[in-house]
Amino acid sequence: MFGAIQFLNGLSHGLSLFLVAAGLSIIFGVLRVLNFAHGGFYMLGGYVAYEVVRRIGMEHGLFWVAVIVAGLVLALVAAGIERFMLRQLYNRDQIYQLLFTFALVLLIGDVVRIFWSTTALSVSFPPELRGAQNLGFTIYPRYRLFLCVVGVVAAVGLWLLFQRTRWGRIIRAATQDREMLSSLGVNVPMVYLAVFAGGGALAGISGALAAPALALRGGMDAEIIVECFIVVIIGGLGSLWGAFIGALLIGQLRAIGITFVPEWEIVLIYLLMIVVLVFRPWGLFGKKQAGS
Amino acid sequence: MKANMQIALLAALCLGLALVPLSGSTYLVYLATQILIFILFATSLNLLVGYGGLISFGHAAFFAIGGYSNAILLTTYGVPVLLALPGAMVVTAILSAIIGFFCVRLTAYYFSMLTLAFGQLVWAVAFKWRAVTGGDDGFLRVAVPEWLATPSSFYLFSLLVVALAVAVLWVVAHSPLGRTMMAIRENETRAGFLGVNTRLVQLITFTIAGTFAGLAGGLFSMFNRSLFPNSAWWLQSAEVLIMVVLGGIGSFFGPMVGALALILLNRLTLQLTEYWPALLAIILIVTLFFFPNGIAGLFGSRPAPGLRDERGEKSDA
Amino acid sequence: MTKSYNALLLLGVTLLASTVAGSALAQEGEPIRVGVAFPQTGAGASQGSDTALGIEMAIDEINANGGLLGRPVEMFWRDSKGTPADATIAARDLITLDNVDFFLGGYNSGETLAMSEVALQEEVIYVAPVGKTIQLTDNYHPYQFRIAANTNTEGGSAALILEELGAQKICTILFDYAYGHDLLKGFEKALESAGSDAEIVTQVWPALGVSDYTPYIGEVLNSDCDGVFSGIWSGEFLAFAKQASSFGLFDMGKHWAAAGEVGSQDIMEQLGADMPNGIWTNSYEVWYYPDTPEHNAYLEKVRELTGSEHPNPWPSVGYIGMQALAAGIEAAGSTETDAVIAAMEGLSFASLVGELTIGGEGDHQANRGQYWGVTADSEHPFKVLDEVRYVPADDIMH
Repeated sequence: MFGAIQFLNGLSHGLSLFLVAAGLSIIFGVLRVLNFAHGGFYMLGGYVAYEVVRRIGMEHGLFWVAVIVAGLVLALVAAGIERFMLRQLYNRDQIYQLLFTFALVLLIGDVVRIFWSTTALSVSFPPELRGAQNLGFTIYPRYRLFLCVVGVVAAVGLWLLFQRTRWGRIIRAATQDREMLSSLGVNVPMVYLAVFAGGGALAGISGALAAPALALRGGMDAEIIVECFIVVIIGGLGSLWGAFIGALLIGQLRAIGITFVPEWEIVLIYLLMIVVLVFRPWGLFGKKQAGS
Repeated sequence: MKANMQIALLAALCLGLALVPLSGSTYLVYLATQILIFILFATSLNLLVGYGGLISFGHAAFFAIGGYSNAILLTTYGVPVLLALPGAMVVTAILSAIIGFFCVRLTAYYFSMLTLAFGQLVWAVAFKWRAVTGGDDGFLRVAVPEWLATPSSFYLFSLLVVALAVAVLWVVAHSPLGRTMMAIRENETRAGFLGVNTRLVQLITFTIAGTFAGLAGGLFSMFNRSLFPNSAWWLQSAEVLIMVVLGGIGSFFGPMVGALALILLNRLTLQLTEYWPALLAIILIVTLFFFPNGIAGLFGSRPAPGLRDERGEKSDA
Repeated sequence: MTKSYNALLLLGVTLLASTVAGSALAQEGEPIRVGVAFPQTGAGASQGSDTALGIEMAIDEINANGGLLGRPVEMFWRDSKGTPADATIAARDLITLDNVDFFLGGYNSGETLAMSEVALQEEVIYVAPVGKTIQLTDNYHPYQFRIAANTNTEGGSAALILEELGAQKICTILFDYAYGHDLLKGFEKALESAGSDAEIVTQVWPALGVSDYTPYIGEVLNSDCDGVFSGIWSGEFLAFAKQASSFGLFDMGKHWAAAGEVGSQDIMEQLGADMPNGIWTNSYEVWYYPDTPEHNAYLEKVRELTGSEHPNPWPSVGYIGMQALAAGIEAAGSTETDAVIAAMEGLSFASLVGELTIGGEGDHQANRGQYWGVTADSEHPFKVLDEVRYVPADDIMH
């Protein structure tokens, strides 16, 4: 039976997914780079949080310190990659950018292996969010409710950032017309740097927040990036709304699939994506010219 | 480059390669067979990437489809190999035409992502369809016929098949079709204005590339005597893409060298370092930044037509 | 242009030649050559390395005691990378380049089965110390031996535990790939032959590679089962346990049998206080049981080697695999393949976990049982298994 719990499961999964996919989508929108390494950033964020928690513990709100550290570390890593390497590839054929970010996936995977080996690692729930909450109609784990809240707050926050701030306007302009941007006197390389670092920070924070809900292990990078690709394909590359709706759809589709057609749940998701691509190749919320 | 010279050189190379079993080293015969199979795999992808400008992240799907089809025809239905292998190619051709139909409607990143997604779908089916593929326990005990049972005889058979297949791909690449593909990659709009049905040309390219990847997969299933869903996984697609880039995109022979170099490098470093992925990443990054035309570029091959060079300008073909 | 391709050819020939030179080094020698192929990279790398460590330990011990048949044993090690294709390469390299007489290896079932195919093709004896998949026996050939427990034993022992606890309606949570389906087969078989009237009321099948189990947990929450049989193996159990705990699934009074070696020390340490109390689970070996001289001698050595006071079970798995092979060679009095096969069929040998017997022709599996216990708090920062018992394999393994 598909009840409230399954709906909430789909919702919390979708909202957590949004956080990762949003970074991927924004980076693509501004830089026109499909960042394979986004999953690596996410994984690294989780491991950084693990390391911080291992050293300082997680009582008295220290888990949130770990999350912030993970975001900062990944912002720095991403900024370094953009500034010293990726920047040189903007004028090249897209295959060079794709393969460069793919090389980063391999590199990050090995860095994680060197520092944390390949044993699966676990981060506990932060003490303030342990246990379950009675919602009246059902009982649901606090941490997952919290993840839902984070997803919604992030969506609203990003929307406000884009709509109401100067930075947001610049980023939107960059998504629509890059040539115009430089003629308006905007420091374009700086915008790219900031967006790539911001996307990295989002991925790092997502990874850190996912650590207690999941387990850390090699291969989580590939798992999340494939899922993110599906989200942005369905929603439309470069569209924040697209990432939001795409992530929610995938979350619900998984929960529904597992309830009703458990054998073919994974195939169902691919089928949805293919159907979207056939009828709206640029995604539900993407712009038509983005793909051609 | 003089086409005749190339052909003569290749014929000589094939003859030379036919002598490998005389070394008496089974290890070397196995290694050479593996390299041959991946040479065909990489060359088929290069038709798509180098000539067609279509960056597929799901080419391993066709390798797997060909592999499973061949294994099933040979083992489950007892079809003789000389029919099973072409049969596997037909199956792969049909499926690549269907998948290609959807994929070539898209360009650039969307094409890459959709091929990746289809690749993962093929993986999921191979994984789930336990009755036919064996699921993750793999397809075991592929019925290799008696006359191909020794490593040497299978190597010579693979050499013949790969040589023929590469010859066909060479002809395709140098045919009017190949030139049209390059024209499309260089400027799709202009090619469209000139009355070229760009979608159709790309679909044909996609199908041919898929079919020959399927042939490589068919050989692989007999070579390994077993086949697992992993062979369709996207990292496998990425690895063969790296072979193409390492060898030189768009140079016909570059990807072959790329396959050779990558496999040998892997074997040589296997006992030295456990950080092969990191090493691979560094090789890839060095290639991308400093040798954008791959190994072939080192030897004075021109940048691939239509590929933008370091100055961000498209080189003229 | 032509020159450039000549140069390329030259490069290729040079590289090929250098590998030939490598193969020339491998000649028939005095020592008995034993190949080992486990993942050193990729999925299962840490378990694989620890298993190989156990094999190395057994070999060092053999050599310190004068070797086998008066000959020293030499170990050759290759990385199987956790994938079947790479496992095939590793096994072939061991045989054709390192000229090994025997080989052990394979962490996951794909690797195990792929290596077994190589053993058949090359006619070299292969010992599987880790792989449990029943497909190995279903695809029997004379060159393979399994020293690990199989999925029948693992699923069957879980059934016996749940039956004893009195579960009547059972939920299963098993991975939707070969391992999960094989476990279910063993589970159902054992329930039936035990004459149990328990029935399976709900089945959920998590897909491979998911890390969010909540939709599956939701299905179990909605079921009225009083017993749960889960096969969420080792590393995957970390995520599962935390998610299931947060739903209170372990506090609902359901009897729980968690197969998948969740009682392994590495998992206990990782989960710490997040490991639920009161669930029954299994392990290849635990460092606190049994208190026998053989086991204690082994523990002393493995502690010294790993520097870990509470060693995980993986070295023991490799160690026992090598004990079986060594016993076979000793019994055969030669390293001839056919002689060793004949000697190993029906062979009983003293292992770290007591006497084990290898099945005859058509079987080739040791009657390796399973340690089961119930999770409980301990004086350490991790939980341990209480009421540990050894569930023998003989009645449930076939």
